[in-house]
This record gives sequence, structure tokens and C-alpha cells, in this order.
Amino acid sequence: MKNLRMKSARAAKDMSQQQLAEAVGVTRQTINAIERGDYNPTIKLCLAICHALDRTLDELFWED
Amino acid sequence: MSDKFRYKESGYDERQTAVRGRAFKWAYITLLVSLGIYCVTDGIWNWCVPFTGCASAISVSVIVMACICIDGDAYWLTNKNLVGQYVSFALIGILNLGIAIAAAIDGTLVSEGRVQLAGANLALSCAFVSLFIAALAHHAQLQQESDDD
Repeated sequence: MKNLRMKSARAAKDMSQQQLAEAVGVTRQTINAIERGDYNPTIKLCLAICHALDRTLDELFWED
Repeated sequence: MSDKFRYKESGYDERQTAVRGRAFKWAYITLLVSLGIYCVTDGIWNWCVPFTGCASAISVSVIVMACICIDGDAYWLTNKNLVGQYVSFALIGILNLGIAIAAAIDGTLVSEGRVQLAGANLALSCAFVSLFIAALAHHAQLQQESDDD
């Protein structure tokens, strides 16, 4: 399932996939895979992304 | 952002590590199956020298490993020097192909009904040319993705 919330949060911070990837220390392809729903990140990477985007885990990764 | 929240444990990130683990698993299985096939067929027909048989099995497993890694952006040189990577693949492939062709022309590729050492060069050239093609195809796919992004 696509993670559109993460994509919109990244866009709201005016960050490219590359910038977010550099901020959290992964490759751009990994960020792309998470946004497309092709990769399920570990909680450690989720936290790093949340801190980089100033969002909570619930806001970005909780599925209703 | 503080280093506390940066995910960085090695040269590869967590997704790449997972991809490499999967690649090594399939490469290992491929190596075992290839060696098994070689042992059985060589026992029946005695078609090649042991070095060439082992080199061929290794080449097949390397193709499997590298293709999975390249497809998952987890190859060891990814994001560092792509041109150097492609040129290396092509050069090694062409060099080995040249040696194999020279041996075929000399008539030493197959001797007494058995594939000789030059067969290993042929297997390696197939492996590296395959990797070159896989790397080029993936590069084109990545460029298309970045255009979409």
C-alpha cells in the first residue's frame, strides 16, 4: 500500500526524496520504495523519518 | 538533525542489507544446484575439465547474486562510480570473450570431447556481459523513476 502521508509530509517540508534520504542516512531508492509501499521499514528507520519530517509515527505510519 | 536519529550502520542501508541477504541466499542455492548438475552430467558424459565446470557454476551463481543486487540497488558499487562499474563489467566480459574466441580458433576450447580451461573464460564472459546488460537496463529504469519523481 502506498504511503501517501509520508509523501505529502515530505512535500510539505519541501524536501526531495534525495534530501530526506540524506537526512535519515539511507538511499533515495529506499525512500522511494517506502513511499510506493514496496518496502516495510524497521521502527528505527520510521523514527528517523518521523524526526526528519517533524511528524509522529501515528501521523506517518499508522494504518486505520 | 542529530546523529542519534540517523539510520547508518554500514555502507548499506537496511533495505539494501535485506536485498543482499536474499541475493546471497539465491546465489548459494544456485551454486549448489549448478555444481550438482555439473557433477552428475560430467559423471555421465565427462564433458569438461573440473576447473571449467566449477567456474561455470560460480559464474551462474554470481549472475544470480549480482542481478538481484543490481535490481534492488544494493550492488557494492551502486551510487559510487556507475560509469566505472559499467566499463569494468564490459571490459572483463570482452576480455574473457576474446580469450575464449582465440581458444576456439586455435582449437583448444574443446579437446578430446571435453571443454578445456578456456571454457571458464567463456562462462566468465557470459557472466560479465549479462551483468553489463542488467546494469544498463537498471540504470535506464532508475533514470525513468527519477524523471517521474
